Amino acid sequence: MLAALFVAKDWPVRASIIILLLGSIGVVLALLQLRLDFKASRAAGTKILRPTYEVQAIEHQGRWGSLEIWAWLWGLFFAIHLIGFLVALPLFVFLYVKLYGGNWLTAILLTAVTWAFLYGVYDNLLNVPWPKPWIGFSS
Amino acid sequence: MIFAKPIAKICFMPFYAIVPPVVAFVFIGAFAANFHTYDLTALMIFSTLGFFMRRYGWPRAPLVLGMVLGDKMELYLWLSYTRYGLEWLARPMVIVLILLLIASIVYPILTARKRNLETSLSEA
Repeated sequence: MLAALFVAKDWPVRASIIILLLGSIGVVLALLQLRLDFKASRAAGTKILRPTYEVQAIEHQGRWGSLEIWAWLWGLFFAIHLIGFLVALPLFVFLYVKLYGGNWLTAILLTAVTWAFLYGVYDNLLNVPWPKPWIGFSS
Repeated sequence: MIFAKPIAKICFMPFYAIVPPVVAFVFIGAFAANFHTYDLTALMIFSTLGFFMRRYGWPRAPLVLGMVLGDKMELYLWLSYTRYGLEWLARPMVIVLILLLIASIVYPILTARKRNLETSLSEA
């Protein structure tokens, strides 16, 4: 925030007004929070009671914790760039269903529905300009 | 209404039947916004950010609110400033809103302090 304030001070008013306003308020609030946290940490045995806005984070159940789902998401992301949407998405659906205990019928059905939706709605109807994949399989 | 019961049965479907179509739609939706693959990168960045915010208890609602309202807020701030200079801050409704804003920040701090004090007194 301090860096943003420093950079924005030389900009024209139109560009810098919101940065200067929010940055100044942000710096003040951050310093206040820092002071509160520092004061609380120095007092021995004092629990820091803060208003909570979120429910407690759920711990991911599974062998690799949350790494598993992240691997799937990044895998899909790179697959889309490598082989294109029309192949990557149905492949992702098929592999996920099969590897997590679905039977062949469910896997094939969901894959077919995904592909039909992609091809029918987005490719045929909307003529979406799919990005050119890095290797083959372009539509 | 007639489809409410069949649609409610989706809640009882196994996760491997729900997750892939949902993820597929998320990726398609992200791409379909501007038909650019940079949006997929933005999707991954914000997914990672949201995950860590949820993991470490940071509220995500203010971030989303800021992203949605930030544009309009900047526009109207600029319009107010060009129209009235700094005098817009002295308008009655603006003063009331600023006071409410300060109260919404200060009140939780004071409540937490009071609770802290009560806890330490009861332990003593």
